[in-house]
Amino acid sequence: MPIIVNLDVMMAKRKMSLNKLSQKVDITIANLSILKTGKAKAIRFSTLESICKVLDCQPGELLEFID
Amino acid sequence: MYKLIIYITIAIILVYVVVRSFKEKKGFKRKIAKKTRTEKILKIINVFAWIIFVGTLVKSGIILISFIITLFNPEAVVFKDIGVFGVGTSPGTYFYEIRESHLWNYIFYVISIILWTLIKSYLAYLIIKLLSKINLIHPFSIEIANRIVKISYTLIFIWGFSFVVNFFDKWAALAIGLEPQFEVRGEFLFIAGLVYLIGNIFKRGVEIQNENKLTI
Repeated sequence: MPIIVNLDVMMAKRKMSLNKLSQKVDITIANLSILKTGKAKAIRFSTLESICKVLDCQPGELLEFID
Repeated sequence: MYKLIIYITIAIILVYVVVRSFKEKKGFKRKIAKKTRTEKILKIINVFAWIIFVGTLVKSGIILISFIITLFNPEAVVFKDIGVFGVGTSPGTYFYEIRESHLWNYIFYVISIILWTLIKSYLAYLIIKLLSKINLIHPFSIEIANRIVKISYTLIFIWGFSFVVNFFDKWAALAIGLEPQFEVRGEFLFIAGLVYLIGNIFKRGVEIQNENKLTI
């Protein structure tokens, strides 16, 4: 998929585990794992907003387009 | 007599299905659950499917027994009032005349009617299996879509087989100068087309549901 999710990079920068992130954004670990491994087909703005708020980052830092 | 057997069997099945629907699968505890309208409709359709399934099985059994009786005792006019050709018809004398004139015509013809009735009971069985697999939380699954398409193929087969029954009917009836009674059932082809269309829409629903599952 041309759009990759740099969630693991952001989590490492903020020193946050998947468990902790899952609790803070109220998304299951399974769904976060789907996002992290690039298997997600789409992401809701509300989800992106929650993750950006918790990780204190911009959507552009999480999502990257590779041609 | 035959009608009574059919009615009693249908009543027993109805009572069994209604009582079973009130019992939990794991035990006999009755939970007070809020049933949605769709669930209630599905239960009612399930009951009707069971009625049709048992009814067609009983009908084919009665025709088979009547056929065996008439093989050994042609005088026995036993085909009356079981709706072989439709409601309100009395095929007893019709079969008797065919039996008297051409035995093999009679055998092929009645066997084709029995098979046609059995295929209809198989269709009801497929509907029962389909309804048992439906999950209202995730209704769109590839298994359900394939079963719906299978039902459409069975309906097409029923329509096609009605040509076979019609052929044997004409073969038997025209040989002795009678009017054929069995007509080709075009409505099955129409319903098959509708069901096939619904099956394909369901497959698209499966794709959309899978995409939705992977939407975070």
